[in-house]
Amino acid sequence: MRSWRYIGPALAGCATALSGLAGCGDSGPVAPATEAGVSDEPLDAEATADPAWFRESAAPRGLDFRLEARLAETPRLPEIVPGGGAALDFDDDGWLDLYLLQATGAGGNRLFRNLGEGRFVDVTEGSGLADGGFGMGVATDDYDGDGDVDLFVANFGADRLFRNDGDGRFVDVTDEAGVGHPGFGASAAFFDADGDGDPDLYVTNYVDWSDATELECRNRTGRLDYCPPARYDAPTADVFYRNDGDGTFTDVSEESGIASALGTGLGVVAVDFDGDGRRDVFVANDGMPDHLWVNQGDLRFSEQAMQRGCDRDLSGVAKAGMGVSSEDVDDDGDPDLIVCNLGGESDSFYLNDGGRFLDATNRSGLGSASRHFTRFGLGFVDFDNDGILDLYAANGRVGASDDPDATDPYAEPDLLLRGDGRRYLPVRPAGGTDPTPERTSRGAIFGDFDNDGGQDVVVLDLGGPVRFLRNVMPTRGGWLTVDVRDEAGAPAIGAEVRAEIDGRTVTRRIRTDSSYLTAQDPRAHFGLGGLDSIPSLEITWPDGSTRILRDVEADRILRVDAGDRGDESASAGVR
Amino acid sequence: MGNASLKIARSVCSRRAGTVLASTIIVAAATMVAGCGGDGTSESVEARPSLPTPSDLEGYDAGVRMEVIAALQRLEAAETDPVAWSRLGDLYLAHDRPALAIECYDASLLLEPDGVRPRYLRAWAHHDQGALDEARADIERVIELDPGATHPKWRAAGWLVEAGELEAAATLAEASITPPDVDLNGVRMLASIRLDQGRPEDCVELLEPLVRSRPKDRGSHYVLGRAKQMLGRTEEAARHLRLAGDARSTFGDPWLNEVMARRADLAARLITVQQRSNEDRHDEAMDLLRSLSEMYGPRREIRYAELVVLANRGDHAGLLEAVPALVEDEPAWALPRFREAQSALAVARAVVPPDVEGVSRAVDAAETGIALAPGAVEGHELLGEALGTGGRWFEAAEAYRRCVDIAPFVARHHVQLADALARSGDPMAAVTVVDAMDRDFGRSVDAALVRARAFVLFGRIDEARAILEQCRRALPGHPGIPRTDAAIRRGRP
Repeated sequence: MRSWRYIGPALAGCATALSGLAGCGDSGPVAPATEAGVSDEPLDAEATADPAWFRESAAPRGLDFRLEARLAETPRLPEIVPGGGAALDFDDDGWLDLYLLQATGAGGNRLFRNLGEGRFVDVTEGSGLADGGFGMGVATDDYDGDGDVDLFVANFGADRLFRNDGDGRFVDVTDEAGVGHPGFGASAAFFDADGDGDPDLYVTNYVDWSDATELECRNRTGRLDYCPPARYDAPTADVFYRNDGDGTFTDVSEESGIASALGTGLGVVAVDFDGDGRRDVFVANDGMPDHLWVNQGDLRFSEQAMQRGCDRDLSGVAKAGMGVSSEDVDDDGDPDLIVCNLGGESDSFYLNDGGRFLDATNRSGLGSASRHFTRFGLGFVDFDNDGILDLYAANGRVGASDDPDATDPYAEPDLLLRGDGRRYLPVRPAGGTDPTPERTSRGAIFGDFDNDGGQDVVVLDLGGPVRFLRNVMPTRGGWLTVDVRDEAGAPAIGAEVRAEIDGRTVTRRIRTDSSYLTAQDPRAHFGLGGLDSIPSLEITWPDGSTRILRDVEADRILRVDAGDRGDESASAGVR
Repeated sequence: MGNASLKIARSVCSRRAGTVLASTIIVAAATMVAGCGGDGTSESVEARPSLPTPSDLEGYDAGVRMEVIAALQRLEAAETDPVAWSRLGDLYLAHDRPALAIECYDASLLLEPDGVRPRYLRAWAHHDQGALDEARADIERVIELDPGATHPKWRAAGWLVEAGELEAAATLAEASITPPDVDLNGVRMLASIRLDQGRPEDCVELLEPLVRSRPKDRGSHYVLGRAKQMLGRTEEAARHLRLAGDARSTFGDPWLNEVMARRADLAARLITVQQRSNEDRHDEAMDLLRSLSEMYGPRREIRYAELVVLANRGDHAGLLEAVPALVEDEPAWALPRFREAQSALAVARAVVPPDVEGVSRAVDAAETGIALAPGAVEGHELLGEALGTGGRWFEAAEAYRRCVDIAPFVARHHVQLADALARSGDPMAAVTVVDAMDRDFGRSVDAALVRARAFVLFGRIDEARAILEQCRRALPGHPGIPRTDAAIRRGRP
């Protein structure tokens, strides 16, 4: 056992960054990477009582992207909801790259290659990924089983599937794959619904909207504003595709039952909630009861959110579900669930109790902590590596604030809540950054982009530049990241990793879904607090095969390939 | 209390609340010259109390603007009257301007520090803004000042629940329940807290008597259903949840209701029109619409409201005459099509047999509306009615089936579906639907009458007659009884 570490050099002179002097922090050029990191490491970590957890580093790290979504002079529904992107290692070099979706702004979608240590370069040209659609959400997985990560883009308009050809180039295979649904797509998730070894695809659709059906909505003082989705009275069905294993998909929305319920789907996660070995689907609907599609086998689903207690809150309110995250928050082995909602509504935090959900929003302190903001991207992530999940929410209103002089009347600060194992408490400075910017934030992508063991956040803001929030939390604990691969060498989506940490069994899933319109770091991350090692790490692949590693050292990224099975020391068969 | 103690002047235009200064601004507001002008000199600030005036007043909804200006003028004439300040605060609060409302309640409380109502509403405004500490301080003071009032206690309890302070919340909610005149919102709040505390049995104990005495309290049915789910009483839970439908527990209180009654925007005024019309005061409703047209111009919502009033007063011919103009101007709007379908059907049904052309127009209008808004259950229901009126019961059943898909918690659609199935010649399917209804919603006369008519098709006349008699005893005036009686007599539904 060791004491908690202080990570990163403390350059006392750069504390002047607080007073706005240039040259420190992110305003200067990127220094060469060193073993310890790069020069924009935490500078003022010991200078304040409550040091920032994150440092905004997009521009100096090479992320030049601005999301624009204006369609007309007066409000149009699609303008207020986009902000998607993906963390993916498209070239399998061990560094997470970024794919960011554009809506109406110049340049289309952009692919940024991570050169190492979280420094990026725009490699869109020639990549085949400069899709010009109105981008909404992204899902990532190796749909064709060739070992590299492919990309599905849900658009407002026809969706797109891009096959990764392994040489930094993607090919638009939408038509031959048969996944170009023309609706108002939002989030998407790849998951193996039928256990045949290849990922099927679920796409949420938001509203059956067209410019001709736009309405004129005003707030109570008459200001023209965006309409809530319920005003259109046009919910729509989600789409579910079966992967046929030959590069094509078949729309099985009707046969599977998915098309039987209409909704206003935004966020989605595909997780085995009832522990029957089949992955279910939770969909956050905006202003309508949420859906829980319980997998009955044979590609049949039954909507059971009401029966299982996760359709509405305890008083019956169908909230404006946006982002969703599912992790085993209480370490009892089953996945819990959080849905974030509109300002004036709290989050909905459900503890999974054997496939039934108990609303624990208020008792966890999330009721008052969350209700003032309109939350979109969110994630249960252990940012301080203390072994307990924290919660980040990217916020921004959908109805203008009452401040008539606001530059951006939809802007709000993001929210960072620290988990203490029982309750969630707001972190100061708000959102974990100092200063706390107010933006109209949407998607949030969580991952370790500089492979330093701290979970970073990429936030997409409407009408603003992307933010790259590097984790600079000075008192982070130890960590372990487990990169589980399948037989083809791609991330083993659907695998579970269980770590023995201080007498608890902590479970994390290999997954890319969750949050809002975004695809996440597929690696399993464990905060270890003061531990130097953990006694046992068990990996279960989707096919049920397992591998147990003993005495695993902390502070490393552990790649575990499929093939080897059994019980062994951590040094064997891993990279 | 004189002006000197009224320390609410601002030296500059407040960015946060968007206020501009001083009584002088009233003149500016009245002439629609709002905003952060350069005339707010410090002299005028020192000399006169300021009135919280929105800098964007010019852009306000015409009806709200008119009310705000009137309230400001009243306040200028009575600026030491705490009630006048509070009333302006109410107006801002009613229109989602909590920051301005807080300024008004601040002023009111400076003049009358023990004012309970403005303090309560200021607490609400603070809570709305996420200023939870301020909200809490205010509501605690309200409870001190007026310990006999119940709604501040259960309201505070609700806020404590959000903060995760469940024990303290339960204590406060309990304190709001004071027999013999029990505030039922206190009971509902306590029940909800018990559920949050993981004490579903206590929740059930509180709510079962309540829903027995108030069976239409659907919000409480929902909470009760969730409690019984937790207790594993799944069948009972399912029934409560279906009865609840899409209802939610709402917690209105006298002061907040008063505030919300101050809404003066177009949407609120159109609700008033609808209420008048629902009360058969159609002429008043039309007069209101005329004044709204003058105030707002020819807005489509106002034109649509006129169609609604025409339909409510039974002037279907008038509606059918008026609707084409709105349809022409708003071709992508489904609602006028639905009103057209409704009136065309009413006119067609006014003769026996129903007028074929009228039915056809109703079907066309409903289908056009559905194409524009496929998720609108109203359109499918109207289509089902129109098709059924034309004798196309098989197609009508499909339309009602769509209603059930879209709105599974509405019992009426299940009855409509079962009836259409029986009429289309499929009594077995009809009985299956009413069996499910009995299970999910509890037994009802509506469903039983459909069952009786389906039994007629099976030739089970005696059973049909027995069911009819049961229904007659339970609800002698039910409109479905004569029809079922006739079906039994002629041997077909």
